[in-house]
Amino acid sequence: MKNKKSILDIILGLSPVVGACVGILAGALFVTLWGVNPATFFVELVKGAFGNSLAIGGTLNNAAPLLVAGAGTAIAFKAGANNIGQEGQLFTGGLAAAVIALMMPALPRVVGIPSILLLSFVFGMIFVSIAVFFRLVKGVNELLITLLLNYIGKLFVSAMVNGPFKSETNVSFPQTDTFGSQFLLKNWPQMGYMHTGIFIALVVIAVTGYYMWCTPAGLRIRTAGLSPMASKTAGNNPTKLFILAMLISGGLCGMAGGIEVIGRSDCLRQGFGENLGFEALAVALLGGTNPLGVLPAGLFFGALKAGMQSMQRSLGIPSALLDLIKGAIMISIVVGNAIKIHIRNNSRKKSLKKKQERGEE
Amino acid sequence: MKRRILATIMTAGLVLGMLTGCGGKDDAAQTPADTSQPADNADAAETPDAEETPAESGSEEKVKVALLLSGSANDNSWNQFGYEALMKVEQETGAEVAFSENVATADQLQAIRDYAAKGYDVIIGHGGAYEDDMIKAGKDFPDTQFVIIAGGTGAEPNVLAVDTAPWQYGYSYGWVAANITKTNKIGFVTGMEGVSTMNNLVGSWRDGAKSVNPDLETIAVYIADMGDVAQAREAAMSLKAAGCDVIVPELNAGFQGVVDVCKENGIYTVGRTEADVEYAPEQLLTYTVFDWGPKYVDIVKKYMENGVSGGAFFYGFHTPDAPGFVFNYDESNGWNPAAVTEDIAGKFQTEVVDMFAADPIRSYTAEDAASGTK
Amino acid sequence: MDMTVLVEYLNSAIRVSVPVILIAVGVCYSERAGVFAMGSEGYMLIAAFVSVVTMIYTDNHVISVLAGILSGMAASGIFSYFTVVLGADQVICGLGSNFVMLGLTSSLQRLLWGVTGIPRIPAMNAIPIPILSDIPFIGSMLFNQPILTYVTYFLIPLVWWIMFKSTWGLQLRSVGENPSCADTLGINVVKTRILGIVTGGAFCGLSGAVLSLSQVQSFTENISGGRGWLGLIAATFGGWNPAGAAGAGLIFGAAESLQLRLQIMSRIHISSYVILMIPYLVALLFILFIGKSRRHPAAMGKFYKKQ
Repeated sequence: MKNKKSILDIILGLSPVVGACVGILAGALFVTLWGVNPATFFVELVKGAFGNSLAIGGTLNNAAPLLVAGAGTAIAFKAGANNIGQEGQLFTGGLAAAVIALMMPALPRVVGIPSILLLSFVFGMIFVSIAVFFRLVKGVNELLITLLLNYIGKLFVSAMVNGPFKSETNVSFPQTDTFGSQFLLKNWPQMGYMHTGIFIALVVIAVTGYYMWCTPAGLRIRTAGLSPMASKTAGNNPTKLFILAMLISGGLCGMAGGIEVIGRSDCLRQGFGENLGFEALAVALLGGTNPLGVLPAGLFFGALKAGMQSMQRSLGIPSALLDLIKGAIMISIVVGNAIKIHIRNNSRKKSLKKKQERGEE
Repeated sequence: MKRRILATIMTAGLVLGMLTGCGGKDDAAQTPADTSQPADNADAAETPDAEETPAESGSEEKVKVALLLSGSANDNSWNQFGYEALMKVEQETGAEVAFSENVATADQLQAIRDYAAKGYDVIIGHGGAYEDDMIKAGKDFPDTQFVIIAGGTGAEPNVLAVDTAPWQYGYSYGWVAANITKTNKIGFVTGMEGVSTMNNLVGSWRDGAKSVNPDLETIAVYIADMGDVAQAREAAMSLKAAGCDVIVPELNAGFQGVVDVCKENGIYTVGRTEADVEYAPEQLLTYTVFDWGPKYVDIVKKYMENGVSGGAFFYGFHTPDAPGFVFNYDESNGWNPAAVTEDIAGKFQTEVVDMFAADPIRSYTAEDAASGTK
Repeated sequence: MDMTVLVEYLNSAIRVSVPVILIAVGVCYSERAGVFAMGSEGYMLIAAFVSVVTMIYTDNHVISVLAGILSGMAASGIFSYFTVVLGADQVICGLGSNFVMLGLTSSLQRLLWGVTGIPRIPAMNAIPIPILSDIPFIGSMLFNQPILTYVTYFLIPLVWWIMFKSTWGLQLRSVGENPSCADTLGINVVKTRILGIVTGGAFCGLSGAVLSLSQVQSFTENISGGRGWLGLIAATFGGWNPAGAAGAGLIFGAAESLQLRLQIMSRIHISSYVILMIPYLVALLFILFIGKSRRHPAAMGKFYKKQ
């Protein structure tokens, strides 16, 4: 029964990596149209992500919210809940940071930061519960509602930042007053301004991974996603599990927003987390909707973003190419996954057939 | 086995989190050069020191200038002006230039720091959105010149905010519109409600119009995306339906939408480039040349001669040698002579230009610029 | 509010909703067949680009519109191969394809026209239909539109009929509800799904052509600006029924036009951001009060492997 690990098996196992390479290769080929040498492209990409402390700091800061929101999204998808509202949840979570920092400015650091993280989780939870309500009471698939809520969430935060929370002193851009420094995550200038968000993210990954794989609750969620029928037979309440998964994912996406606000800047600015939601969705799916898989996927994405932006600065290629490369990588990875499953199924069929023939002899 | 790995990660994370939570936030005080470096790469540390010398001596060493744009360099409007100005700098000063476009708000600070760490001497953010991040980065790189265009107040010693007095040209638009409107309703299409530049622009437009005719209706519409032509079109159409016969756009790529609607419906408007006048000569009142090129060159030259400077500086009617903006229609006229008669043009000089030359600075609030009809 | 203002508003509502309606209809086809149509935004973008470029070189509106439709079909065809044949994840593939299209169109525009951007093309103005457009109220609202709006009027009932009254429509729907059952009955699931996706792509392509040729008269980066997502939402809350989706799209267009007029009419200051929320709030409220169980096609999103 033991299969020999062939080279093919190893390649298939690493198919996400292969997919990523294919995508980057596609980008490298495309930049030749701008007279850029593909080798230079790779070098600059890696330099931009890891080349010096500023780059590494950038990579980790990019990864932090993606890891947290990605882990949350992974949980939702594992439970069979289609939460694609990361953008809206993330923005409302960011609003929570402003609420605490501006309405309770006297809080000390040791209370302030955890309160922000907690409240942003709560805001995200409340926001996603709108979708939960529509699904349970009106029977509308949460895919639609969370998508719709993205717009509403972002506009609501814009309205807040331009309305009741608007700064009277910093008027060159729609933003709130500066938060007191005790509300901001510590960062290390010598480490490329990396902030503690990455550590929070690691804890989240560990906790969610543990929850999903080592607790009975996690098992129930996974079963509900894989086979609703089996889940019911086992005596679980699918509705409760759905609610649980959605609330956790909404909360984590909200917390990611909070981390982004107090980690990267010192106030709530309009459009602060633009696109982070969709990137977190991509990270979750690339990580196989598994919080543990989200770790490498999130770090990869963070590195990719840092590398590509830096590369744009050093090579002068149009920023549009970065979108092209992002997309090519995403597609390559999932197509690679699909091909991997194809090949594995085929080889399994073949070996099954062989066994049958031998059995009949 | 899995449990143990997870437990280890958790503990490590918690411990680190606690340690960091106890410390204070001290990034402003430190510069990369001051603290001990991690082993990997000392690039970031070295360059701030290295760039001290070339600037002051005004030597042959190439000055490096970087530009950040929030939109695309080819939007035929605001961002393109910045790009073209950068090209002017390259031509006229021989500086080595680089630019980033479509810089997201979250990535601004990283990009600015990266350029500074790479040794760029002058870093320009084309838009008021860069104010906060320029000031932050400015603290860590005291010998680099940080510049914010069209927004902010800058900061000593090395953050300069340069603008072309939006309240002056906004007032001009309103004043002229009020003089030529037949329906007594004029419109404005723009975005980014509440931003100080927009407050000054729209507020002064209303002020200028009301100074001619206090009973005039001034209607401002804010669209969601400065680059969306279709939205801009619809906004202009709705203003036309409300009865406006002069509509002023202040947008990025979306500008074109308003000009198209005005051309199709015989409504007066203003343009951004000579091509606009060629496209719709009857409807264009003028096109406003901001000519950021000479101003960018000015900024770079000042740095090359005197080193860093800070604070706010405005070009406008009060700086006739280096005009902030110039109204052009054709070779001999600043404004469309068919609409803006000699009489009106004469009054413009005394009631607007001279007034601002004597009393250049004004400011308006978000309430002055609020969307809707006033 | 006097009549002319109302009529003008409704006229604009229809005009504005056409691109979203077309995408919504296309999404119906793809999703009824069981495949998420996340890539709609991207197909619209590539079609908008291709139709403008074709227009610049051929100066012929018909060919340009067709080119747009074909490009939408080609892009969605590639997507269909990855998802239906190879089995790649539909959501990520769709999202990835949006990014690719955005990058591709913006880069190609920069490569071919440099920083000056794509020149303007001649307008496709509103063409009032003789006699019909003179009918009071309805005439000015419905029959004074650009030609592609009339095409859309015609397409909606056609598309509805095809989906619910034709054999192919039935096959399409069965493949989305219960593919293994359809397979047993001899329907080629893969082929039917591909056809559904490509039809969807064709509509997204037409939508892109409408946006760039008829409304914007040029191409600007990211010209689609989220309309693909609105189409997705409209299709879902129209119950994956082309007529319902069209209605939903119309409501979005009406709300978007409304928010502009609200800004103009308001004498008290309401933040423009609040007013911008209106279309989405309308959608939400609509679902709250009217939406019955909007169950999506049972097999939507799942890869079907022939047994």
